[in-house]
Amino acid sequence: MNNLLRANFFRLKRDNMFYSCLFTTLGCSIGFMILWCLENAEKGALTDLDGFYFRPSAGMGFFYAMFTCMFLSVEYSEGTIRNKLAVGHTRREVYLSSFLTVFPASLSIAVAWLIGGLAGVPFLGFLTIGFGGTLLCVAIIVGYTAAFSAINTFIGLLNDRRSATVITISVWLMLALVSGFFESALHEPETITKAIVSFGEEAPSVITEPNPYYISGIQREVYEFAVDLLPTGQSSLLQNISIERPVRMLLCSAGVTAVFTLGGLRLFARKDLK
Amino acid sequence: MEYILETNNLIKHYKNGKALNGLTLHVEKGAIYGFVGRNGAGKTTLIRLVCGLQEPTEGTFTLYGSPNRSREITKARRRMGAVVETPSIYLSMTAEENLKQQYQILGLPSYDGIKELLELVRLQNTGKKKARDFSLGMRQRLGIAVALAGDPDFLILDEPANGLDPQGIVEIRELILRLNKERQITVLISSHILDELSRLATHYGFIDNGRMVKEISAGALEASCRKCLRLTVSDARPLTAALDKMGLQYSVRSDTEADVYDAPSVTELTLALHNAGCEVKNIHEHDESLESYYMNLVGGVRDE
Repeated sequence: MNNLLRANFFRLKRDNMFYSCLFTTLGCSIGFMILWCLENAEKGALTDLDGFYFRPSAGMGFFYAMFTCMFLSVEYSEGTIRNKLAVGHTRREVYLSSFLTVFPASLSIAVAWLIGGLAGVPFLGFLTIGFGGTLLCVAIIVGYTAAFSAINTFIGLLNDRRSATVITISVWLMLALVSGFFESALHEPETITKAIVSFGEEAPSVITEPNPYYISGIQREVYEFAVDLLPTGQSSLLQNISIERPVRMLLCSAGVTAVFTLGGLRLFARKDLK
Repeated sequence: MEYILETNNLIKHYKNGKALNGLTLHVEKGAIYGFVGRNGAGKTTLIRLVCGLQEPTEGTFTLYGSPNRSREITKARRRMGAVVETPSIYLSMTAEENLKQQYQILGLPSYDGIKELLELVRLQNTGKKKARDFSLGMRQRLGIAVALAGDPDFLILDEPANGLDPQGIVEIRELILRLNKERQITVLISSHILDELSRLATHYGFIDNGRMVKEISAGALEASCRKCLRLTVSDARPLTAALDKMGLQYSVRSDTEADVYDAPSVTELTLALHNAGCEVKNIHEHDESLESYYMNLVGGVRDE
């Protein structure tokens, strides 16, 4: 498998799509950070870097999906996957080497985002969450990047070019919508306050009552688990550094990575290639 | 007899039917094996199975004696190179980069030999030109060069002349002959360009509807092809009367043309025709072509 990994990295070094994703991420990260800083400076709302640094997290899945489907689909569209199998590499080796190339490549796209975010340092100073907090955030990023890579490799190697691109982007979008739904449901307040103005009274009377949309009990636990499980949910939580269950999030990432990699290996072993 | 590739009753089912239906084939060491069949006969399916791109539904094959379901098959495949359907090359890379990539895949310790390979396929002067800017013939030759990386002694080429111009076809033919003669590489070529194949192949396998109809060496095929005299005359009626009188086998091709078998004496034949009042306009020896042999074997309509 080492030979396949070396060959994949040899190709990665020459892959324009990879560099496009890398530099677009870097550019967006720098651009948005400066824009936010200037915008909030005008409003006098500049506080610390923490509130802005991880904001692009939710969009990272899109860049990962774009890069992975384009990188892997070349193997099918240009037929080069045949060169690997016809000279005796096993399907297991081909699948694992693809994942092990896509994962660090996606991580380097994440690194480009994190480096770009440092453009906010002159305005806001360094992160206030400390070394431990920063390390935890980085661990979450590594975790959900692995999960995204496993999902994208699964789709990229089990579909041909056109459908893989459409499916990978659609899956990312769908996961983002699903985790967004769960997250917004979880953000519903437990109680709502109503101000009632009656005729003849000078001051409105204020009443507090339970929010019918508030989710509690097992349903809340299920929703929380879903957000922690989905890589899009994790990346969304990281936006505001609202990481309440880091161990569970890391375990979920490991689980998603393992399930998709093992499932992909099994299906890829049976796939009829052309 | 040493066989590089042997298949035994191979069956491959797809959703829409059987692509291979009990195919048995033998590729001898050192041969250029012409694998002949119409579109959809199962040629590419067999190649996909041998290359490990698909698994047979039933049946087995051995490559260098290693059964397809054994662990040794992956080692056996390292001695093989293949160009399946279209050349498998990275279009965004140069010819040299494509070969370097394949050297990495094979785990070869150095890039020695890349220059030689490029010279062999006459792509040594392509420099920084990307493969996407190559002509079809150049891509085909680069595909063969990629398949030759790692010095295989068995080469599988699926329709190597497809889409090539006449010069490209000649170049590929010369390359295959050179590889077979100079490097003793056994070659399996699938093709339906029979005229081209007849200039190369030392053995033939004729496949139809996923079954092997006949395997035959080029020598045996030549011997079994009937030779005849093809006559063009003023009128076929006195000709047939004269041929019947002489007791010769013949087949009438048109009102003015007939093939006469059994190697008759040309002097006796022309004299008999002269006496019958039939003018001979043209006479020449005619060999049954690979194409007509194939058509006789598998049946079908020939457009002439």
